[in-house]
Amino acid sequence: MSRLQKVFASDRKALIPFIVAGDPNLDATAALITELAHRGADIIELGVPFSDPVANGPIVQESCLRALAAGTDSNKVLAMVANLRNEGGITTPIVLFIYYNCLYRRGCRSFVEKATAAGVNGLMVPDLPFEEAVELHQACQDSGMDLIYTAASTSTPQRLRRIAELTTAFIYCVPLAGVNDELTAFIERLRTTNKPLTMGFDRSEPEQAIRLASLVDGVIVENALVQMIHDSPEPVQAAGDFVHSLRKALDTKV
Amino acid sequence: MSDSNGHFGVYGGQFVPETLMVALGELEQAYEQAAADPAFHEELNYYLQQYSGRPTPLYLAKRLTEHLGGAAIYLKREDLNHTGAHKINNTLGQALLARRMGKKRIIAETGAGQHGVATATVAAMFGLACEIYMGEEDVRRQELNVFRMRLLGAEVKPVSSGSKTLKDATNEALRDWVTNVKSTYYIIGSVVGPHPYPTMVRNFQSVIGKETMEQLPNLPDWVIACVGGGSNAMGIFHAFVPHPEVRLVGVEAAGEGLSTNKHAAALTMGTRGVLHGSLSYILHDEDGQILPAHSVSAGLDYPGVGPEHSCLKDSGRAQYTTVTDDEALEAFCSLCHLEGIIPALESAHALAYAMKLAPRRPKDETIVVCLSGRGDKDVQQVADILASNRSRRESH
Ligand SMILES: Cc1ncc(COP(=O)(O)O)c(C=O)c1O
Repeated sequence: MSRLQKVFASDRKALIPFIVAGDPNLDATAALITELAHRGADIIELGVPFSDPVANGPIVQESCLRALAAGTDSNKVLAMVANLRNEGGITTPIVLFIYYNCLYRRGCRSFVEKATAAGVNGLMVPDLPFEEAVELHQACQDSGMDLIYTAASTSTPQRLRRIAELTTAFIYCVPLAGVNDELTAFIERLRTTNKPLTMGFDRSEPEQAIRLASLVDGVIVENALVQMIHDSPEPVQAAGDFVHSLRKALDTKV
Repeated sequence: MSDSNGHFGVYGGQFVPETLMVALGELEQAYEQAAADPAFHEELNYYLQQYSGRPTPLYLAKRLTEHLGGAAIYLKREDLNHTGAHKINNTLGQALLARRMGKKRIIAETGAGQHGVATATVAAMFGLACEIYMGEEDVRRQELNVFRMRLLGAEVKPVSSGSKTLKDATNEALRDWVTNVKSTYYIIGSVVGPHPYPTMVRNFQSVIGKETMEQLPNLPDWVIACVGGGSNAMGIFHAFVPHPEVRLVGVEAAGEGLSTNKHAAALTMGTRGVLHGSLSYILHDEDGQILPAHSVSAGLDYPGVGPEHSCLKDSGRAQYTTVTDDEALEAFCSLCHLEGIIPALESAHALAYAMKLAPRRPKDETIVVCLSGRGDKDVQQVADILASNRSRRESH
């Protein structure tokens, strides 16, 4: 069982904060990861900044652009992760969220090998449907890296089945905005696959996380956290408190 | 020409969020059905002829040819289309398809504004709601086209992220489509994006080359077109690809020079990468970050290129070269003086290369230049540049 699979083997709902590496700089990111790991995160989803993140909204795009302006690149992100593993004593699983071109440019296989060596546990590539993922899938399999596939509420039943077959740790579920009945139906369709399900949430109220956690196995905290880190004068403290509040809510209510 | 997932050799494909995969499948299916339906072609031809004014003339540029003293230069007059560029060949086709698919809302990205205008135009004619994404920088550079789109009833949405040009407008349009995929049809303006767009847009534009072939008594020796995303070039190349004796030349924007990094020459200077849904030559750094492109012409100011061009480059079937801002401006002025035609700055790139080539080729050779658009949209910008060049010369 991989480190990521183990997270979902436990009863508690997985709490997965998403942050963009290098915003405002990589030292700050290392401090944030350390704090989040100690305040209740089960997995850290670490975004590798990309100039044209079409699968994200403006909050993440702006964060990416700040990170790039600070000189962040994927090699430096991996070096930071390696350092957290070797010196920082951080064992919390880390999933890299990385756009395909960043990975492709470094060479699929070589990037996966380097990421594995650095201590990354999984990859999530938002612009890579399974049809195009054959090479990466093989490279991940050879390195023992988890590759997390996305399911959309628009995906056909055949596609959902294939996604569930291919994904190795959990499924990242993307509903279409604002349609609640469809959301329940979508999750029910995916439940038959027996893979752990995660979903993003963009609000800052713990109640919202609880509602979501009643549907899925893991909650990914996205825009609200990225924005908070940018806005707060004490980002590490603020992010830690926020994640801790979500942790408490999930553990008591679910 | 491409496999079932839309690959041209290694290029092309569908590098998009899962959210869009089913929509792309539906689009592909609807397009294939339409393409096999004679009634669709009949309707499209009706609008191409009666609304846009096709066929466009193939004009022998006599004074230009005599001035250069070599091969004969013919201009394929796409500038004479309704709205002033080749872009409407594609927007008519896609709007008809959107209507067949029952979509009521249309979105598009635009650089120079020509594709935005062509989209707003057909949306008005077919009674569809229309929103156009345009980089803030381009909104500033192409004020006239912004006003045109608004007159035509479209909503122009300025995009302030990234380099504020075509690439960012495309990002924003893709985001919109991800969110509103059920109600919305996305009319991509060039042979770029995920499959089936590169094939579909090329097919809608291929009318340019088909007409050219019919209009000439013999095959031409050279066919030259500018390459932004590459739709006018693919459109005029397509019919000639099976005829190896016809040399195909795509002209990219060298901007301020290839050594300055202020250019838009993805095929000439780029390497393989993924941008906006397909694998192709792109301009990016060693970390895979997309580099800003530059050209005096907004329509060529794009760091990627259609995947079929990448394939044609690798196979050697087409050659790709570049022309600088200054050379394009000179060609722009020459065509005005010698032929009484004001070309788009984009098209002036193709023309500039033809003007370099013609004097070196014998008089019995023919060169066809795709004059992709007219230059009315550019006259203010050219006036400003010429004025600032003049004052720079005077101060020396
Ligand atoms: C007149 C004209 N020519 C050429 C282009 C470049 O596009 P493409 O390379 O797709 O033909 C544009 C784009 O806006 C244009 O307006």
